[in-house]
Amino acid sequence: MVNSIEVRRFNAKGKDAFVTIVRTKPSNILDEVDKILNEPTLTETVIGSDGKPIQIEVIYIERRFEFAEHLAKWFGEGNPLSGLTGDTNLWDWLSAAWMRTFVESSGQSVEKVLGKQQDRWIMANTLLYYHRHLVSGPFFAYETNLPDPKNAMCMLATPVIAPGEVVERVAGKRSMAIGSVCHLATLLYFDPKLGKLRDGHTSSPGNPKAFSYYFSQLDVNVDYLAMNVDALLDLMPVNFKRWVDLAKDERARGLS
Amino acid sequence: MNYTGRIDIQSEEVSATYREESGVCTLVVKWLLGHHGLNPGCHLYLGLEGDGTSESRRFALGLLGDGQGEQTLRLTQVRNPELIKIRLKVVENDSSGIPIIKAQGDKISPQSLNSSNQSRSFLKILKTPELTVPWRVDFAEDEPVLLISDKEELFHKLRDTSPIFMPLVLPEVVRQIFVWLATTEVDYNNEVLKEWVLLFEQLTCPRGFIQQDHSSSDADDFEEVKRVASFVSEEFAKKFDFIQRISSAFESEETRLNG
Repeated sequence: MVNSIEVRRFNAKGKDAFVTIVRTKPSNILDEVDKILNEPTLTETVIGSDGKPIQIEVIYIERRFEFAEHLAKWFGEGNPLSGLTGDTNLWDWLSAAWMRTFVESSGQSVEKVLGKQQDRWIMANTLLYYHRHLVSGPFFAYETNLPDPKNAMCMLATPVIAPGEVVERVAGKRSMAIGSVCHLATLLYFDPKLGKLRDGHTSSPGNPKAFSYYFSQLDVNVDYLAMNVDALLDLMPVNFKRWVDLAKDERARGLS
Repeated sequence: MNYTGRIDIQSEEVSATYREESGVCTLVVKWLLGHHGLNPGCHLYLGLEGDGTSESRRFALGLLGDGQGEQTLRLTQVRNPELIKIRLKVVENDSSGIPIIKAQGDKISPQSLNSSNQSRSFLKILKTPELTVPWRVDFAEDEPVLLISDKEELFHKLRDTSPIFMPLVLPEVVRQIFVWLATTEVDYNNEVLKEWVLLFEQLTCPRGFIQQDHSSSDADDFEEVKRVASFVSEEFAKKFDFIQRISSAFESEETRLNG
């Protein structure tokens, strides 16, 4: 069902109200969020460059990649919200606007969709949690890797409501979420035939935690982003062999 | 650890400014690295990293050449220009083709050329070798200046590496500046003071309140100034999520210590 609504943003009081709801998780949380979404004392209309309010389609999209593509119709370069990608009160309003849709259409329980971390719904002003925001996270991963967002499938192949371990490890490190090293993580952990992350990718050896640790160690001395992805594949230590072999085989067969 | 002889580029060797106009951020970066004797064939790369966000961009600036240069970048999709920090790298491939960082400057804050920018751009911060308290706000030059002690090299540790210093002190800095501005005869046409007044009014201080004469010895009036100052300081802390940032910094440190 397409639910087209007028884009608003929280003001300071609205943000406080949303934070309180997310933290306290009342049993009727969806109704409580609905109450503040269009409340004029807590929100304000976002006006487009043409001087008119902007409509956005709040629809259920399961995977982060397609969700990011959807948001790019508004936030992508030249589109009505492109100048507001840094507006945390807008992103938080959007996560409030999408909350009911995620809960009612995902087939998951409210508790599971809401999760334990408030950073899923409220943008954190800290590198450690910023990427966890369910709505902005996919778009930022997508947009940062334009014009080849599929190179970022390691961060875009999972469900919007369950980003997973690779997102946590890759999106949480600025220098890993872009360019050839992000592409490398995609080659290692994303199965291009099945369109999803490889089975067993979180198990040792060579899991995303080890990947993140390895590049963090290199970071001060080696400018790995200056290397192309095939050179990086050759640079990977032996504990990544099972993924490197798969990636090289798929590269040779033109699958990735 | 620096096992490769990497040069740490100093803040005075790189300068960066930016201006936002019609959704476009124009960033100008200049570097003066000729005296380091680096190979002219080294490559220069510029990283833009959002402070406290995951924003990251990277640009190849070409060869180092004589070590001096300037580049202007027009950026259309920067999320928060005021949060951007620059990382400049000088890179040279070793014999096996691995790009080694020969010199690097990190966490360099570009200066905003817009008149309406955020507090950190118009709050002067001075390294003060002799200061015997960690920090103090000084008003001697008719403009607020945050002095940070440099005893035990504290300045760099606090300003550049401590994730909690600014969130801890800035609300109090803002409160002190508010009280000073509201109770002192100052030139409100001063560009920096105009910025402060604008900031305070954005933080719910009633328009015109600061410019009213609060310099008399009326105790009630001074209480009102202190009350509004506290309110502005609280709004400031809320706006920039300082409590959350401090808490996150501690959680991050615990995570790091626990492996």
